[in-house]
Amino acid sequence: MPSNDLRERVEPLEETLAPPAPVPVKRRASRRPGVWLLVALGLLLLLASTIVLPQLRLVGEAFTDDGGFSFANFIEFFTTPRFQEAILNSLVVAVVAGVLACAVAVPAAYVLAQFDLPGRNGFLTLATMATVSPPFLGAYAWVLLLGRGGILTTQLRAWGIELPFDTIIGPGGIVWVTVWATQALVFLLAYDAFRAIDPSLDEASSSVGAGPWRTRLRIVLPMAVPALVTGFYMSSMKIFTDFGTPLIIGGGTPMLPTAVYYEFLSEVSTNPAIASAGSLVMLGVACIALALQQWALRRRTYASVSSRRRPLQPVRGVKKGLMIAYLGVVFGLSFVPHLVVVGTSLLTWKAGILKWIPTFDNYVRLFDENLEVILMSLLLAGIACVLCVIVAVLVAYLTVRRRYTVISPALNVITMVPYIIPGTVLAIGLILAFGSGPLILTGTATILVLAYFIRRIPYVTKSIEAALTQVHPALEEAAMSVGAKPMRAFRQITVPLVRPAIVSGGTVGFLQMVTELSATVMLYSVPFITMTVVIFTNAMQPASPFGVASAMTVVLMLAVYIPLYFVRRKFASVTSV
Amino acid sequence: MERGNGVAVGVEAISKEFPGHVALKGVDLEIEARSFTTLLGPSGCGKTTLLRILAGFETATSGRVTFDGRDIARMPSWKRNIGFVFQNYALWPHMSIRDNIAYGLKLRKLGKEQIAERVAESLRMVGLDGRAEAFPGQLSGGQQQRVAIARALALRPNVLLLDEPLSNLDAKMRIGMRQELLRLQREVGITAVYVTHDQEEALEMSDQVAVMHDGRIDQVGSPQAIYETPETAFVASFIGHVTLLGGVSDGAGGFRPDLPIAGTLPAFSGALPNGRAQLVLRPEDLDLVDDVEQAHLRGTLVRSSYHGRGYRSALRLADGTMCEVDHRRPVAAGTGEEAGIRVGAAALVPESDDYYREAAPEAEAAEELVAAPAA
Ligand SMILES: Nc1ncnc2c1ncn2[C@@H]1O[C@H](COP(=O)(O)OP(=O)(O)OP(=O)(O)O)[C@@H](O)[C@H]1O
Ligand SMILES: [Mg+2]
Repeated sequence: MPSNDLRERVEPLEETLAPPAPVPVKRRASRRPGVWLLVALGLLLLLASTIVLPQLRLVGEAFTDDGGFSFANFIEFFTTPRFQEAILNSLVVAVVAGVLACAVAVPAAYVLAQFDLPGRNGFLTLATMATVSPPFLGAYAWVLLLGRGGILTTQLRAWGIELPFDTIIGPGGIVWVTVWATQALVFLLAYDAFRAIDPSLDEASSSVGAGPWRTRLRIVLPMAVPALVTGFYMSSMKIFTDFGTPLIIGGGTPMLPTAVYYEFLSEVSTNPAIASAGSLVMLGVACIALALQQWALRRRTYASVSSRRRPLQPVRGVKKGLMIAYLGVVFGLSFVPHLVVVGTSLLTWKAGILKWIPTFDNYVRLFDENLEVILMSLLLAGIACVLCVIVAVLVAYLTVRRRYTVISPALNVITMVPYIIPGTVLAIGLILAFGSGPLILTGTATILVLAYFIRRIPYVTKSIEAALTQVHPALEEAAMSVGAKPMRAFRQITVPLVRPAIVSGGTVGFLQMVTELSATVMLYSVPFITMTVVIFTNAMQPASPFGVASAMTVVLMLAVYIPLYFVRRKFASVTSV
Repeated sequence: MERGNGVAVGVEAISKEFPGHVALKGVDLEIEARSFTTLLGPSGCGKTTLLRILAGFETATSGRVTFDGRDIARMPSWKRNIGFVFQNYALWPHMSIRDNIAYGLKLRKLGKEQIAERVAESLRMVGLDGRAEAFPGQLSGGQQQRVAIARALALRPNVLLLDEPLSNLDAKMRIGMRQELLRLQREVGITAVYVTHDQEEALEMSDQVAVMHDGRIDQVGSPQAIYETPETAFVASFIGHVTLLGGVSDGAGGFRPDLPIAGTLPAFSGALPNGRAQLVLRPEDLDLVDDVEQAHLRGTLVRSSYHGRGYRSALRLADGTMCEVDHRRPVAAGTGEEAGIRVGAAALVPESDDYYREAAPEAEAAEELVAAPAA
């Protein structure tokens, strides 16, 4: 049975039920449950043509040379020094930054999960906020701060303090930025894992004479390994597929997503076939990473049977101070970008140089010049989000409830495919599939909506699926027993009961769509320009109106955090993981 | 009052195969209109599956279901005009009690006033008037149960299907609800099919009991017939405590037990099997006699306990079988001593290994309860 507190959230369906008479008197001969089968087939067609087909075109492109099957593109890709370097850089940066993110986040998560510290909810809220930050925000802000002519760099120099480096730009910058951008993801996963450990396990450990550090290393840490594996996997894949950060702060360091992007789109020499081969390499790495993660998790999921909540240990004095200081530093550094952006949006910029004069001019200019961009971003993400939620609800229902032997598993697999497709790869596939041929979508808003839809469909579907498994099928059968047809039972009983998951899943989906850059930057065309594209383009040009870009980033952050705030207030824990 | 619209239900050779498991193996059942039929059987025997087929939630692998003689295979559940009371209530948590009951009525496009009237009436029937605005989560288990019944009854269904609707209630509540349910069913004139694994419930409530066993119906009949003239060892052993003694039946009233029985047994009730058979002895049909010479059987007294209206004693027979006997007078024999058993009435069933064994722990616990009163 679903929890009873759904009751408080879901108002009675009076409005949908009230009119007794004007229900259409369409007496179709729907004797068999054919409606759902049609829906399933329709969805299969839609998802196959938008998700599978582009990837097949990509594979075809990569393996074609001179009109025939060939490995030539791959051979060229792997023998070109530029690409060799890109692969190496991407892998090293992903692993190093992933390890560092874990190293930073796990102790923070542990102290917050174990000890009674003030501001617990504050830190958790910050962590959740950090997981939905615009992905390139960190790079943009840290360059403003510590680039060659950065705010802090010049200021420190003026005070006679020399930094050990000339500029943050470079591979080190990528690592620095991504560590702080992804640590929150690991933090939340690890925090939940630590909180879930049965307290009697460590009590048992100390009862047999193990000291606290021994207990931590031998009992607590191993129990949290699955979460750490997942956290490391998710953060390093986020870094591996990140497009904006290396381009903004990488200073020309070749990385896979950027190399593929230039190979596909640059004005000088484009080679879609090589770019496709590179895309498949990225996809291959993503698959291997997922397989490794799954392999590492095998036999490592410990079901926690404890219903006892883990008590928080009291802590005092210097120890307490150090713990809070550590958490403060970790989250402080994670939110430096947000503060920088807010600050710089309220200061005057002259030809790319910051003047310490407070002003609202940036916002005035933003709304004068770029209002359409803001609205366009919200509109595109909004449409994609609605589409995503509708499809996700239907797919989740079909896989959880209507187990058609072939169609349901097929739908399930296809919706999960985008989970491993990097944004850059997705965009290339879409351009290949819909840039020519019977259905041309490039240059339209549709292709952006489609990209957003595809990128988020696995996550939204999973969250609704999880909620749906909590709704007992008898509730729907009860509706049918009193005379409701299947579709009506679905709409009036099942959908309202999973509404919390629909709202929270949809909202998180929206946040990710509105901040999407890596696919957008390849697919957009005038006049369908999004905030992320404008901010990104600004960040790439010296002496551009940084103030306006910062103001726009602030607007983007508001577009993310306001919905997040409302959803979180209504539904306890909402994270992007 | 004759406002019943219950239909006769026919179940013909219904089989149901789930992947890797056959839940029903050719079930036949005739259910009279407006009657109360119980499906009785142990856990996993297919009761719920049969009920769900009647409701149209599952489709049978083969066989036919008829309502008033019409095949309803192609009729989906939402057109069958049934009421289904789920074992776990299945109240819609996002709707008030009123809306839960009114939902089906609205779908039937009844007028607003009529709906309000029906809701009020149904709630009154189950003694819950005044709680219409509550939500399911605010009611106790028993109250939710009654709402589930009210929801099904409000529709005046042709067939009311109840799946162990009282299983989650305490003993007292259960007995009250049984009476209530029967009264409602009679009053409204509905055909009721009631699933339970509680034999007492089945015997007390039903016009007809169908005892199910491993995907089949072993016997259908009135409660008396099921109790007094069981047709299989399983039916005999599932209902009440019985002692089964093997032997050979000649099909004409003669029975030669494997274990020597002194004197002549009373005439057997029910059908007489031919060949290997088992004698069904119920505790209340037996008596303990002090004079061993008058006894049909002899056994060693294992325990004896007082039950208010008499005693129940367990004796170990010569072949090791435990035999339970109810008797009014205290026994003269002490524990471990020999006593005689007189058979007042008995039935014969064809021999089968396939009888119902009660849970072992209960039997063990009973063994320890040795309390032989001194004469
Ligand atoms: N959907 C299903 N898939 C596979 N097997 C099933 C399914 N539903 C029921 N069964 C199997 O069919 C058999 C009969 O199940 P059913 O639910 O009808 O038993 P029951 O008599 O109602 O038992 P109980 O008294 O425990 O409720 C069981 O062995 C069960 O495991
Ligand atoms: Mg059952």
